[in-house]
Amino acid sequence: MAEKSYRDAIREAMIEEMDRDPNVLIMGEDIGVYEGTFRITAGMLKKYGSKRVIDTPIAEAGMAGTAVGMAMLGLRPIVEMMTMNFAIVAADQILNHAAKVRYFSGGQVDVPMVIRGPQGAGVQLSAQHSQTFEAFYGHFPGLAVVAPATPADAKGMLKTAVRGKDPVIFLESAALYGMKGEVPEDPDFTVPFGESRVAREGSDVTIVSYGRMLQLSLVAAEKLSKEEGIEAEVIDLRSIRPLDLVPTYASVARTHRAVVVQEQWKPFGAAAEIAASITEEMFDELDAPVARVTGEDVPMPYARNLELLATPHEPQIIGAVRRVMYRE
Amino acid sequence: MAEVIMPKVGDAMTEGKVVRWYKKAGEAVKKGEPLLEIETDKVNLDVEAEQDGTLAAVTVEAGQTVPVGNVLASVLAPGEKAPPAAKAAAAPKKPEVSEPEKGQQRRRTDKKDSIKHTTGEYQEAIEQQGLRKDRTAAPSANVVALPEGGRRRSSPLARRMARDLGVPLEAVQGSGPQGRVIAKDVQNFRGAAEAQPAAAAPRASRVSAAPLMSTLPALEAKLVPLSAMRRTIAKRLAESTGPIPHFYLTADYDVTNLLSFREQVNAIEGIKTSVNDYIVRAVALALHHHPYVNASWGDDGISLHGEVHIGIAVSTPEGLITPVVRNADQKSIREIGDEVRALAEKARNRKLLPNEYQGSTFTISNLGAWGIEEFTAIINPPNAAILAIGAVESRPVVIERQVAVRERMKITMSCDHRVVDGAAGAEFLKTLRQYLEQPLRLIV
Amino acid sequence: MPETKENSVSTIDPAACAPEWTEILKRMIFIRRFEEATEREFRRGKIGGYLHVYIGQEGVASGIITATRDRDVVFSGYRDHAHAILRGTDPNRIMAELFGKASGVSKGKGGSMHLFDVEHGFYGGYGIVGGHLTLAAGAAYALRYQGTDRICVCYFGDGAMNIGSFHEAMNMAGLWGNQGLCPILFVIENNGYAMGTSVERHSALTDLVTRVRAYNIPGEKVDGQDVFAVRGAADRVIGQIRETGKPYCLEAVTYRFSGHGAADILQPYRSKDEVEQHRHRDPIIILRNRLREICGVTDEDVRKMDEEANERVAAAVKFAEESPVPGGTELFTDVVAEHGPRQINQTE
Ligand SMILES: Cc1ncc(C[n+]2csc(CCOP(=O)(O)OP(=O)(O)O)c2C)c(N)n1
Ligand SMILES: [Mg+2]
Repeated sequence: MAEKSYRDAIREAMIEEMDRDPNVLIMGEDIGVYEGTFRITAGMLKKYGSKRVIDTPIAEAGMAGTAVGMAMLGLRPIVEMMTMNFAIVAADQILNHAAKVRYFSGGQVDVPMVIRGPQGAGVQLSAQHSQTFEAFYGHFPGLAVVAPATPADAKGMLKTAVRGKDPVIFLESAALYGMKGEVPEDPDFTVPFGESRVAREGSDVTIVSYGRMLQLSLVAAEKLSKEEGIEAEVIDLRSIRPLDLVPTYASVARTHRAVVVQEQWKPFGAAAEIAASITEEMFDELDAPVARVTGEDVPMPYARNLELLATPHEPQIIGAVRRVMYRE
Repeated sequence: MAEVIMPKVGDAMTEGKVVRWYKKAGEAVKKGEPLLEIETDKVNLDVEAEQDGTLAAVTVEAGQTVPVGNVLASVLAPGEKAPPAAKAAAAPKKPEVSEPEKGQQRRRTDKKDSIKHTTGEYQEAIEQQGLRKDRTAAPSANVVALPEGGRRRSSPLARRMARDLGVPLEAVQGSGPQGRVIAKDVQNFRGAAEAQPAAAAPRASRVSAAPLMSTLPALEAKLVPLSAMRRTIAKRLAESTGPIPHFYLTADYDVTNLLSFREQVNAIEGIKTSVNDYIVRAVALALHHHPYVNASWGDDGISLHGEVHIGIAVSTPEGLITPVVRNADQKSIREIGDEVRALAEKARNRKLLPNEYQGSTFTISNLGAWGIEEFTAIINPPNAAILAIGAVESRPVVIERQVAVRERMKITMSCDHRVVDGAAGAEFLKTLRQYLEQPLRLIV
Repeated sequence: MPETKENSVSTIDPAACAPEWTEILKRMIFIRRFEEATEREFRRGKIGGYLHVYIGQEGVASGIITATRDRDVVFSGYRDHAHAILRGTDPNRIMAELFGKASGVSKGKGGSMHLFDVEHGFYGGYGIVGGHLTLAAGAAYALRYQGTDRICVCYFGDGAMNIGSFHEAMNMAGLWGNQGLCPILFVIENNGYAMGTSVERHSALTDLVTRVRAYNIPGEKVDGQDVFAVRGAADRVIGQIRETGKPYCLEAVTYRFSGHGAADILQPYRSKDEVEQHRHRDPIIILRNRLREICGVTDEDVRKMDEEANERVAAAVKFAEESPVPGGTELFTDVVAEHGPRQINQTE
């Protein structure tokens, strides 16, 4: 184990996989000469050359689409989106092609590709640059969608993504790039998709989240413990598709109440799916309606104060917990 | 003079660290020359001089981390004198910057670690130009109004528990929003019901030492739907006599046996019980036989309470208050006595907690100590009845054609006619008579 | 061609002194000072988000927008401060927008990348590279459809030519132009780089304007550092666009002296030397030298312009600094005009 940042964990995963398998390559805008706007790919062009570290024009649809073709022919491309907001430009390539060729070819092709990049609000990038996309991609069969919340998961899940056979949407939290954590050194350390984990044990209420909101939930849980004597169990979903809710169900069976936390808009969001599933499976265990903590239902404003008001913070999580515990 | 600040060099940068100074205060610097090295979470960088001059007023040392925009030093143009320090410049500003300063302080709780805490800043945004409504509050609960007289709200877990435990959900008071019955309520209800068999063991063992207790079958709590006739009667009665249509029944009880029983108990047990304790117990037991007296009127039905909580009117300097003896039917005379005295004491010291004076299902007002022979009391809503207890008096009475002097006590019952009919009230007083006149019934 | 009721802008003779030239110099100096101030305020932490300044490229927008009419419309990418200033937007309100204040042009909701001032024909400020090209083509169609002789000017970078919407917009504009229904001037602001990727590294064909010709849109290259050349070309082709309703494309070859954005500090894609070389072709200096010759503009005149610009910029910063932040309920306004969020999600 070694202490590493989320950023370095991602870079390491890519380097180890590129060393292991010559079919792995990476492409994206300004990832080579510029070394990446978030410096995730620093040093990689020098190490692997321009054939394996491809600086692309500003052409997200082109990147995603060519990656599909590469993958169908046996390469394992990793596409870095400068931010996931730009991948919307490639929606057709991802949703209509990457996600579906296996199916409509009757399983004749694998599509082992990864589309990865940062997402999330918090630094005043306003409406077009501050979104999160797990619900957007999570809706489409044919994709895997993951959102790691720790450096170890970032590394282990990226390796799983690169080694797999399906297109993976790998959602990184821009705000977590500097976050440090223990990361196993074993080059074959991977984290499987579809296995959520209990990030904090507790018996009073179940908080379900992923990505950066998981970290926020953990902070809120500590506060709840210290200030209100409420012990929250916090579940880290890690992957959105496939979605593993079994630990969540087990937890709800003990706590009888759940709060789901997501960064983006409430309508039709990931939290809606999770809350509905809990209600379907654990209806008789619920002592309160499942609460959702989400961003406000508006495009992200630029002004700092408005941006703060538009995004979830600890007080909302604490408020939701108190509500499902009938503490108010 | 040009200020040297901690520059924001990344879109997400909020603070930076001074790694080292290349120049010392007083040294000459040239435009474009590196002055110091800073570190952000992404890179290390040199900050260059923006003009020729002399480095002055270095206020931030190597190793320190400061917010973006903080002044680190200044560069004086050739010939320029150092201003009388940053302090002097800041001093007159003080009063007017108090607001932003407050914000700054709050923000300091925002640890700038990887999780990017902005809770302090968020609070500031709310205070500064907040939302009309606190967004941490619950969303409005009632989007669709429930039909009137509709089903009681309850959580799925509460329903499942009620089913498993055989608890009638309608009888359980909901403590959640809009009276939603939640698991805790079912548990409490069940706890009270179970206290009987479960608590019977310890009580039974006490029977020999203090045989002042009898056990009872569980009461059934339920909501009795209103028939059309019942509704009409209720409405008409209410129209004629105000919100609660009262009527009164008075009975005269012979409490001679009760008084001698009490004396014996006091002698044997070496305790002090008061007549009132016996009355409370008698009433509690009698209520068991008459669920309609231990009930409340409601627009969607008459609630028969599954528990017997007796309010005792206590006068205090501030006025009347009615502390409640909870589950009085499950308590011994001694327990009742102890509790009533403790509650009365608290009432007089104004120390009663809301849960100690709320939630009665029936009330007793006793003015015997004031020598009042007989009076009527006003019902304590949502109770359906109240008893007014008069003084015990020695009166000549004819028993088997002989005049004898007996201890008598008059009790007047005020009834809510919507719930209790005349005959029902009379039946209750009759049952009460059995308990008061044959006091052994109080313990068997 | 439809009747015009609008003001007309006279073309100016590049060879002779005209008062417009000094006016343009003033504006360019103002833009430079304004942009320097925004970078400074970004360093101080007063401006958030992404900040892309126009330093070095002033000649391009100045030469073209001064040749447009009040009721013409302009679309731009995120490097949009100069375009708004030139359209006549109050600099106070631009700076306030960058500070995220209620008095900003977009009420503090857009920020640097999304300046907007419809009253002055400025239709924004867009953050997704190339995303606005199709919007501009549609706007041009609308202007002709409605029977006006207004035109649309659409700015974009060299890098934007690589994204799908560029090609779709060009082909549609070319097609509609064949029917005289797309009066639009596409302006490629070719500053040599798309962020850290040089034109040679991002475009298969580096003669960018030839790519436009594939869609039957005529075009030409112009020296973007020489505002005389830019304005001259603009005068000529804008009239023609207005006349014919056909699109035209100018590739203005220019250079940005600052980083791509304010956070582009290291600039590993180019050397300091390269930047220094280009500083010799500063559009402001080129114009100033020219005006010295033909109009007798003195150093003192320029110093005064500088001083005035500095004062005006300082006033804008002060205005921005002192303006209140938007009220919390602003969060929920302007999302849609009619069909608000479901009641259950609403604040009040
Ligand atoms: C679709 C999309 N991909 C990536 C980006 C990130 N990005 C912002 S500006 C830029 C470079 C654009 O270069 P160019 O078009 O030449 O304009 P310039 O910045 O040079 O003015 C990139 C890649 C984006 N905003 N939108
Ligand atoms: Mg460019």
